[in-house]
Amino acid sequence: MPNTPKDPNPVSRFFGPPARFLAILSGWWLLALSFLTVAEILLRKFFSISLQGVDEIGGYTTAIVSAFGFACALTVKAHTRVDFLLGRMPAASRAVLNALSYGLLAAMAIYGAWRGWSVLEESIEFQAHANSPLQTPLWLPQGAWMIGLALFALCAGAMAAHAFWLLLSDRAKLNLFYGPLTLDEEIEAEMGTILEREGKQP
Amino acid sequence: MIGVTEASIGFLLLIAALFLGLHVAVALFLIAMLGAALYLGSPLVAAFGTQLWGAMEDYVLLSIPLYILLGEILVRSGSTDRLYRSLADWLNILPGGLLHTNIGASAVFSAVSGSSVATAATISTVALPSFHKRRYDTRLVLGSIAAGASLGNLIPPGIALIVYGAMTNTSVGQLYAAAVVPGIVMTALFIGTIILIALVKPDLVRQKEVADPLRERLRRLVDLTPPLVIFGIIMGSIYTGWATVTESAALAVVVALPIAALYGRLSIRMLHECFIATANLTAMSLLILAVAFYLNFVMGLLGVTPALGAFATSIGASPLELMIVLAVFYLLLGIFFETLPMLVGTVPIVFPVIVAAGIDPVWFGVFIVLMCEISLISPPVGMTLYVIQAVRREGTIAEVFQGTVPFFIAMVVMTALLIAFPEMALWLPRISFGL
Repeated sequence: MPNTPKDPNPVSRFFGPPARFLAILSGWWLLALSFLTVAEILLRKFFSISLQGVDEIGGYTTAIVSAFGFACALTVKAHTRVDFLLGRMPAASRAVLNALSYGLLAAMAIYGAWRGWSVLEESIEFQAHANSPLQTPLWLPQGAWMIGLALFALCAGAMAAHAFWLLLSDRAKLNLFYGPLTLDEEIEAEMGTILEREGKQP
Repeated sequence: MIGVTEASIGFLLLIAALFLGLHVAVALFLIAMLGAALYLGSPLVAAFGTQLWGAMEDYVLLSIPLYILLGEILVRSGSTDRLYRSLADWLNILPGGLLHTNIGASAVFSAVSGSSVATAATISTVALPSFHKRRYDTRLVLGSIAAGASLGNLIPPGIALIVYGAMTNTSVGQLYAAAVVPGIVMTALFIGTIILIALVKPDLVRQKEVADPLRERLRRLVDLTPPLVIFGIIMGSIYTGWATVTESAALAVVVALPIAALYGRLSIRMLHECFIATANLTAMSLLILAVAFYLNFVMGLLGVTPALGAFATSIGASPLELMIVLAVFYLLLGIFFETLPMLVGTVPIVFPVIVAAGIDPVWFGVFIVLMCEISLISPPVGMTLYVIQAVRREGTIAEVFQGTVPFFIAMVVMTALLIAFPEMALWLPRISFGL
């Protein structure tokens, strides 16, 4: 299974630790927000008090948690691709399409980070505040969001460069590292969970 | 402004980009950029950033990571084997014996875990050993697991309904209410299929199950409580108006923690694994969704929605004809695509058409999710099928394919029923929301 220290792809090995760090941070945050939400539900129901703004923080959380996960998902090939035709092509065409996929993914990630940055820049420049009870200065959630987008852009960019370099040097490796998630990889990911659950070591 | 021709070309380009194996989000991005650059100009191309933030900063969508986290915690809590055993106690009595437990356990488990693939893997691991010494037709054993796993999206809380709701501005609470009865009917149809096979071809199901003493079976009923409590909390808090869909998901996460602790599986390491899995699945879904929103935004400015609506009116097809055409379209698409690409790839085009034709958006949500479920078990593309084969480690994938055929037919029957009796989906939302 990728996303382990043994990951053969050097780029995902490099980006794995920071990406997993952000993912774990998101998880704790989601858990904390869940408890806060339960408090809000109970207070509202029994004491008619509202904590104000849990939903606003929740909205920012969606943006930040997903952005934090973008790179992590990339290092384990979790971003979906349709491999129906791809899997039936000869290795040489697959190599070209895999490199193309990562090239275009990097283009999107870098463009997204650039446009995301301009959103953040504008909020800082105009000292934009949310039109809400919390009056959140928008640079705060947008800044965190930007960290996720930036890591995603860096990771995708490095992968695209690596993929194109492999296209010239080692196509077998290119298909291995940047092909769609193979069945074995996906099953191993699922089975890892189950063996864990059964209390055995994978 | 563009017309139906340009929109169709865009749709075909999208399908082509998907088949080339581009990441689903990238395929959507390219089509959106193409539309914006050709017809709208650079300010709207540059609006990508604002649109991304706008789409991702959404409280309703927070239910997606929360439900995924809930599923991850429950998958790792070890409640599956117990659930399976306890369900078997009661479902074994039916003709078809243990096969019904595959449907029941998969349905319950995929509803709370939100993932058909995880369900197929988990239930296969638990179920296949129990079938080893029993005399059942292998293909039916495999087919029933696949069919059960596909049920998860239709039985609330499913992610697919949230995605549909977010893309079309349809209330997720109403969609959940609408999916309840069809979910039950679908489960009943699967159980009926097995009974029918067991009665018509007793050779395929030769096993007579012997039930344990009643006392033991009653004692094991306890193991059914965790998933039922979670389900009850989610549906109950939404329909009593105590909580919104997102809040109910947070509530369920908080309740799932003591359940995992009770089974002795709660630890920091386990939580961190849940977090990473949640981040991956959330990121995958939200990236696709956020870009799909941008595509929707571009299509809106290009006037695609009214153009498609006018087009639908001009053909003069009746809602019934339209539904049949769409059912065939989705059955074909389902051969190649899995749930999420199918949903985000087609909803922007199809939704304006069905609205113009006077079809209820809530009903259509149930319909499209049912079509997604069929896509999960229609070979040759269907991850659940391959996962089951991989867990089994013997025989061929063809046996899994053959096993799904009766259940595939049951799903097509279900589609026909849903079209013939739309009340099946519309009744519960009406009485619970007073529409």
